Amino acid sequence: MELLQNLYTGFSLAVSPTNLLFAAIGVIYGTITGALPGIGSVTAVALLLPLTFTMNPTTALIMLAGIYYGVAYGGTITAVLINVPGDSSAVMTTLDGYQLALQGRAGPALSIAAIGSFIAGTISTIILMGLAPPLAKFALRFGPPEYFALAILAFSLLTAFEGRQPIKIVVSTLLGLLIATVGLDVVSGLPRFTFDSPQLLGGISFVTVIIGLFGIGEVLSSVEQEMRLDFLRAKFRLRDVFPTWQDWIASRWAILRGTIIGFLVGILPGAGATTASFLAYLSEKRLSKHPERFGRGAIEGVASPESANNAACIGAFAPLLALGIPGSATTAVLLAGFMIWGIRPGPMLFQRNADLVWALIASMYIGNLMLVLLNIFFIPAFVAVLRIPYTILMPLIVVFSTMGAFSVNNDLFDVWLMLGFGVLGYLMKKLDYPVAPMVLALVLGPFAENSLRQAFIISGGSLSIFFTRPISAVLMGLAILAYLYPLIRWAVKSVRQVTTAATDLISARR
Amino acid sequence: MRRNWIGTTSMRLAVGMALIAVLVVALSGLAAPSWQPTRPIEFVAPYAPGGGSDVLARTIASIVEAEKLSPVPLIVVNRVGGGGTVGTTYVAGKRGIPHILLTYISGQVSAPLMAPGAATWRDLTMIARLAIDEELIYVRMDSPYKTIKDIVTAAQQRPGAVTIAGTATGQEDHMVTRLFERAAKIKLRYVPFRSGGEVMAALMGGQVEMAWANPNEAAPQWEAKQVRAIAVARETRLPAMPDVPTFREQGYDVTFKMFRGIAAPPEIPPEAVAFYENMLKRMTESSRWKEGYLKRYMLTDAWMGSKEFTAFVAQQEEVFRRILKELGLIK
Repeated sequence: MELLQNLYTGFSLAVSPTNLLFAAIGVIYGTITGALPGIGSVTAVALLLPLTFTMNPTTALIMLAGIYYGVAYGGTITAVLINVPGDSSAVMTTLDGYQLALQGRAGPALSIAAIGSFIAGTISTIILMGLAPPLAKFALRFGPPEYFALAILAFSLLTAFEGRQPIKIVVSTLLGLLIATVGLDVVSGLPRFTFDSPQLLGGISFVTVIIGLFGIGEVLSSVEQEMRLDFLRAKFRLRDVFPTWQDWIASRWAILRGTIIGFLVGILPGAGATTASFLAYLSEKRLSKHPERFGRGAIEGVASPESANNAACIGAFAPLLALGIPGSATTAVLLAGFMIWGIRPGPMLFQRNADLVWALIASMYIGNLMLVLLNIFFIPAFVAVLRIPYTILMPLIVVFSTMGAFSVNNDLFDVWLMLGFGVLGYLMKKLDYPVAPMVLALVLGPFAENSLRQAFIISGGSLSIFFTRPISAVLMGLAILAYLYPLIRWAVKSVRQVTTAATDLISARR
Repeated sequence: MRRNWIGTTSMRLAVGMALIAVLVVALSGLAAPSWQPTRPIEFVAPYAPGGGSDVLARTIASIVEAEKLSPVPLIVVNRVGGGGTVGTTYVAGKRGIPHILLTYISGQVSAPLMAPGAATWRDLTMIARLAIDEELIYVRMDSPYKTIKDIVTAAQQRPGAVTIAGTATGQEDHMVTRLFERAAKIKLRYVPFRSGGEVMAALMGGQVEMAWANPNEAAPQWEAKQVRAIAVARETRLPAMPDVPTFREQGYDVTFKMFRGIAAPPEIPPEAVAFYENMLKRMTESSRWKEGYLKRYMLTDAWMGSKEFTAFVAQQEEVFRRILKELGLIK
């Protein structure tokens, strides 16, 4: 009852014309910046933060939160249409989304992403509303050993890319891990692979790599391809916007699983929307009865990571609001915002500023509704991008990629790096090396490395820390099972063969 | 008639404006320094959005604008990475260009000692020191540690096994840990994390026994009585936290100055240094700075002009060098 009362208060604040207007501004701005490669949610929120210094905190927070989850919607658009993820959490969406676009099904891909994001956003908001404090406390039980176990489990999912030569997956993964080690190391405090270059001290930005690999890589390989324009000339009909019934059937569980994985990863202070989308996609592929469809235009391959990244954005609010601990780089910016508005998030927030919390939660329902309507309404316009001739579209991708790389740190150095990774992306494509394992390794590498070393520091070098703590032990157990799975499958198969042979033998004797 | 009235008003308005303009020009002519910036100032914050340096830069930019302390705006730009070395080295490369400023904190003095190729304070012009932030040891409310003595006793019983969390190895939290170890003749187990947020999460989750944090970083948990502050590494107690004793009071001489200041590229004209010094001095005298920044983030006012600040930074570098040597991080 109290919950409904609070929610009522929240909605009555959130639907004031000013708050509705700023929610709309937030989600629209978020969608646009999300679609632009290079500008992720951190930059998008940080750019508008100074404008909110003099605003009413509730209105400001509603707008900034709208930007945050709006970016997760917007990142999909370029991922599907031109194979360039607009935001790092949309990397996995490119794998099947772009294939769908090539098959002339960009409309359904975009709408399932929007609808999936909406469902995920709404369910996550409900969970956030009811369970933020206990969930945030649970998330704190994740220490270095748990994070390491989680990373190991995630790496085990890489075998989901089976079908290609395994050695190529290994090479791609190792390359990603190597790139991730460049820069100043947190644990030793010393630079690694920087060759005394001050710019490399900061490490190689994940965004620079993905823009190069996907954007420039795509442009380079398109140069030597025949113009694939036949589907673009097809007339665009309204029913091409919406997913078919089969798409629904294929995606419904993917959306729900994506939501749960996304939210759980989202509440962890050490992991974010990008990790969430990886885990969701890979486990979806693992669970699928037709894993071979993934990477060739499986609609659930879009639905799952897109639901997960949205759920993770909402989940990240749990530790921020309930504990005052930022769960992601973007919520760290929001935390700074809170300070500037003179409000302390954390345990006291729900008592002192209950109105603000409930208005924010109410605005999340409204914002997600706005986003799904906005995104579906504009799908015909988005898809029209595909009608731009390749000879114009490709140079445009180069322009946007360059701008995106530059905006990472306002440095031309990143542009050169990005171009270098573009050539690498082209070569990898040409030689049939999968790019996704490299990107995953780039995200998970530092995470796995730091948490492994932190765990060893805490335990004084003893391995037992990974197996004596319940959460870590369960995750490690799952990971070991996942690694041994091929062996187990092989063993079961051979035992079966032996038994069948034996039975045959016995029956033959009779 | 009506039209005429409007005409007269706008005429009056125009004359009035012209008079004000003349007055402004005359007044500013009186106080005009010999150098003024002529294009927008690029204000580099070498750490991530939302962090202490970013907040400092954005606060200064907004006060300068609100109080009209500069004829041109300050545009905050984040150049992130390498423990602040990326942005610092960028500014150091803009020799003689007076339209760039940089937030400059203690970590930017120590980081280049460990990272060859990164710019040091010698490659920059120090403009002013503005404030000092404090280092405190926090434990969870349910921790058995109540005083520094408790921690020292525990560390004597379990040498090198009592865990303390902080930011990256070699940065401020790690250096002040060394000072504590030196003063108490103990050895702690330092666990480095990527950010202050992760440090607080590790403390709250019981992953570590205690953690270093600035008053502002731990404020939400401290106010909610979920963490306890054991000691502050400062000469005297912090006015905002009068119940928290210093290390010295508890018998251990541990003080650390985590300063926040402003620097500019090397070899800029002395007139430009004077302009920025003056601009920042006036900025620190505003109530927006005192109330909206120092008080809100629990920092201590610590003004130093260019000359004094340069000498201070040189001395701090020697302090840091000695600590980092003791930690075995540099030779």
